[in-house]
Amino acid sequence: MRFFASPSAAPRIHLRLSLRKNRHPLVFCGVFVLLLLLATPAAAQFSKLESDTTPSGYLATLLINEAPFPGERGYVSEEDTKSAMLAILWVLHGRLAAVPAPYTQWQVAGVKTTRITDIITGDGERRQCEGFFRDPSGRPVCAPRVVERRTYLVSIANKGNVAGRFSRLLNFAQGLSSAYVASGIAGADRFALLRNIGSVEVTGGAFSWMTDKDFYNPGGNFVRIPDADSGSLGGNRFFTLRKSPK
Amino acid sequence: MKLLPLAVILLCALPFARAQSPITVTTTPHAPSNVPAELLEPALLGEVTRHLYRWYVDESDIEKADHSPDLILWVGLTTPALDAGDKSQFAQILLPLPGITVQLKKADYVIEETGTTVKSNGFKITAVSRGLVPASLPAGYIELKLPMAKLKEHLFATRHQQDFPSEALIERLKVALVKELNRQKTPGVKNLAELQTVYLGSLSPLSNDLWVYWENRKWLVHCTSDIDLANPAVWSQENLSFRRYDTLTQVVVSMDEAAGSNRFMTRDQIGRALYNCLVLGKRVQITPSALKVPNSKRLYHK
Repeated sequence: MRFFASPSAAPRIHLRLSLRKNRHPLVFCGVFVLLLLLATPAAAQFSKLESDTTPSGYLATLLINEAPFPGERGYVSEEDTKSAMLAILWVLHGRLAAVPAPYTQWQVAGVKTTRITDIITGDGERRQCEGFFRDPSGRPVCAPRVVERRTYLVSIANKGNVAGRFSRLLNFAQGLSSAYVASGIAGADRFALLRNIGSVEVTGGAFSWMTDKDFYNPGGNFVRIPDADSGSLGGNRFFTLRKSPK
Repeated sequence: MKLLPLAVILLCALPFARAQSPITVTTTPHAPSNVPAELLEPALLGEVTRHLYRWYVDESDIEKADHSPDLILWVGLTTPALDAGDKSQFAQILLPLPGITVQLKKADYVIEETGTTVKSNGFKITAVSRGLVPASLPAGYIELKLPMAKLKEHLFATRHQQDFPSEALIERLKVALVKELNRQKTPGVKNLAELQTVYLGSLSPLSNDLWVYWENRKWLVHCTSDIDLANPAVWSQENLSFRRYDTLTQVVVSMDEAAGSNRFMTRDQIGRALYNCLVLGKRVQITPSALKVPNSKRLYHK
């Protein structure tokens, strides 16, 4: 009885009674909507990325952000973009677990860590990947523009009735990232066997990438990998290291 | 009325029409090549050299060039594996003397998901790099000679030539910048009614790059696309990538100061971009609240 004494109880009871009174039309409408839903094919979902709050989702977001999709500057082909994603993953892996002697991880990656997210975010103002950083509480986050582009690409990928290039590229990035986070790097390192670039002796492997413009150069002991050694992929230029540091 | 958009597009394209070039080209006798004739046009080669002069070349390059009667160019097609149905063409222009490689693309493909046709009206520069130009003419390439004296005269005469974006492009850019302003409601932007001043860099007809200096934020914004900037599809779809550099915090004297990071530019590079925006560019003022910005026209940074 105390329940009915509540000031809001009266209108609620009234509403319930009204619903009962008009039950037949409502049931009819419900059945109609259900039939409509069954008759309409569900929106296709060709691509779904993991949340960027997970290590594999964060890594996938970086690979997607740094590689060109159709219509964007630097786009050559689906295979070229996939190769760029793989090469970027190798750069990160090189900085994380394969820094060649005599370099230290700090010299190459700007951090000392065993976590891939630290390699991506770097440290403070000298962070390594534009748009990827830690918020004041220390959580790895992406700039709003990065999140927006990721959301946009997923929406394009899930358009239409057939999986196209966008979804294949997104799925490739997510698959690569998930496999890496779960069980380490898989696939060939196209730059591993590099020993000389021109007259400069190099360590092999790639340790940096930048947009492929002459005025972008990572400095230090990084050496530009030329076109002849596939150093330009997906609109990015990849860099190895001098064997003997300057 | 249906012809109106076409007329607007044609008007946009007018500033990009190539003028008769004063440069003459000598082609060295060569084996049959598949290089398209448009890549050998003096007007195109003149624009390539002007683009390099404006954005890449330094004192030392000019000094080196003084000792040579001709600028040698090696022009050839490259054939990367493309997606099915993609008819884009890729080319390289090699400059052995300064050791510069220019990559060009003539896009011709369709983005199936959006139905956008990406078709360029000519070859566009997509990348410029230095070093490691082959020692001799690569197979399938054509050697061209531009007389150095005439070339230098041409570059000197056009060194302050201002190639502004068309009014239609400026209007689209305003909308894009206001969208960006809305996204960046950071402490630096207090009021969307506040007058914003931007400087649009001089445009090369051979490049889908546009540099913008945003005075209120002290930002340099680099806009790029695979689609010609004059094409409205760039602005109606999400094909324009923006990359911004805070000229206060993302600048170093030498990349050695932040080796390995991809978020900095050197002071020299910033200086060159600022020269092209502030001195050679066009000043545009925007009152964001006066512009209607459709929600669908989102733009993103890369």
